[in-house]
Amino acid sequence: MADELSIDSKALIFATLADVYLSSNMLDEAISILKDGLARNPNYTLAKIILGRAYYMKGENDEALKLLESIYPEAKDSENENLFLGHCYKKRGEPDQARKHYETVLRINPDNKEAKKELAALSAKPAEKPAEVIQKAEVPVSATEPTVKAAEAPKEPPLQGTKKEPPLQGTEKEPPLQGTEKEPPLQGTEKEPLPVAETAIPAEVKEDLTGKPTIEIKGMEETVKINEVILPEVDISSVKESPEPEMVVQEPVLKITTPPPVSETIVKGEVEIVLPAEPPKKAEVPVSGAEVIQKAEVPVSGARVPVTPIEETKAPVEEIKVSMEEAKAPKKAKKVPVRETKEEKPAPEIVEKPAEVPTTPPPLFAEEMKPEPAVAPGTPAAETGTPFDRLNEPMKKLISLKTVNAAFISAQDGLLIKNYSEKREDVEEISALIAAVFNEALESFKFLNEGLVEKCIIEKPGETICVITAGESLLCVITEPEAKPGLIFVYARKIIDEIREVLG
Amino acid sequence: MKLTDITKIPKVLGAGTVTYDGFIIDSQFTVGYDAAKFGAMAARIVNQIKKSLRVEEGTAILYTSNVVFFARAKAEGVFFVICNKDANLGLIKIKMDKFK
Repeated sequence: MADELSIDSKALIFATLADVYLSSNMLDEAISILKDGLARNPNYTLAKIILGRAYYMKGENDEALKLLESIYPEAKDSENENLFLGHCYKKRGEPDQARKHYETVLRINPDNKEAKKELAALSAKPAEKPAEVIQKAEVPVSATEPTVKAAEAPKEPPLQGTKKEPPLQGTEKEPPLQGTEKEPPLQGTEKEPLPVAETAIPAEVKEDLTGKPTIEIKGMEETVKINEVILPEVDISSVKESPEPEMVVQEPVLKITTPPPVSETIVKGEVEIVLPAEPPKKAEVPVSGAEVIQKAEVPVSGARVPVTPIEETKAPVEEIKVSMEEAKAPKKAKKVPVRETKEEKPAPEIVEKPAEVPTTPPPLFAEEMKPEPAVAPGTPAAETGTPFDRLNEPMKKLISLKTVNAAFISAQDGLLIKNYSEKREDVEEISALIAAVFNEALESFKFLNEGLVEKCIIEKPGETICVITAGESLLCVITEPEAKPGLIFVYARKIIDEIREVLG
Repeated sequence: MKLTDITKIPKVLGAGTVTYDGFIIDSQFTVGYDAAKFGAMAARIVNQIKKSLRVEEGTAILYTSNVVFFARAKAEGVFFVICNKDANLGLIKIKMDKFK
């Protein structure tokens, strides 16, 4: 049994290597390796199939056919065996045999696109074959007439459907046909060999026989055109120039959603902006009540901003109470000519005005703005009132396990989101490295169509790292080697649900 | 300890050893699974772990939506096992520890 495995594994290695060579179009290397390997292990059918494929790709069709036919009894259920037999027969000009093998391929694997395509191409052509046969029989073949070559090549059947045929190889690179049976070597599986009978017929004889010389010539011209014209020519002079699109620069519109009475500086339809003597102070914390006073000044000097009529604004008004001193302070400031300074300050700054309004910042944003060192749950600093608070309790339970050294949440790009333990100082580095490993695994499994990686355990000397995906984030737990991963995952489950809710 | 000792565990789809450059040394897989592909992937992941975490030996267990994949870095190559999600992972891990 061991010997058998040993033989098999050796065979697999050389066959795999040859397959890689073939994929890289290193045909001679592949053939050499396969021949050597088959000399040691002559009954290895898979290697023979690969060798047949290599011969075929190299253009040695007869050799390929001979080899593939020789192993057909034992490899008749092989998809590749039948596929390349089909190719060989097709290339040899035996479409019926080719069709039979392509059909076998589709019986074995109904999704084989190559076989489907070849079958479609074969079934699209059958009407042409009898004509060729008649020509073969009736037309005396002049094997050595050099002037014929250029004229005969275009007599290829017209391009059909999705089949990619080499466009007019005959006009430039004429294969050495000369009445012999040898066909030009194929560069790939897509190439269609020229029919031998057609290419050997002198042009004038063929015209006489068919009685439709004009059709022949027209066909040639069409083909030549197809070959020559890569891009359609466009008469530029005849194209009417379309008018250039006008650049429309929209002036920013500042909507002041202020109910009357408004500040004195507001005029209907337009606002004169006054420059405050000092940077405007932040308004006080919103106070509940009906008093609504909107500050009219914008902290941008001298911008002239069209304002929509007050009657039209229906946006909700924020309740801001401003002290009288603050409201009056801008009036002391010097007025700035509106038009002169119009372009000095870009309009987007006006939009930033709301940032000064003391609204409560989004909690997550606030979390980023104040990077804190590792916050151990349960400490007063941890009670920040952010959505992350929901994670504190389950995380506390997790890190309370004595085998857990560290726990943190990171993004899939490796950036640390939050660390829950102070035991480790290199958490940011570990976060980045774990993300690299995780993404590598993710890519690999995607490539193999084996699904997405959900969790991962990496055991290394001295510690174990458990990584669990939570939406776009990763929960990473670093434990002692003797920790029980099952227990970690049980604790992690609740945290994962919370993280998904908090971070999405 | 042979490969068959692992592959005979129910729901195990295959196992093998592969060199660090991704060529199969030995493998046993159920029909329909490409040992060469999984072997290459095992080598890729283990190489990344070795490079990132700066370790010479270690084990990675990856749970995907379809399968569970074990890869163990050893001095002479990578030993890997692939199984269904409902296989007895603990048993597989014990067998892997015993595999020489």
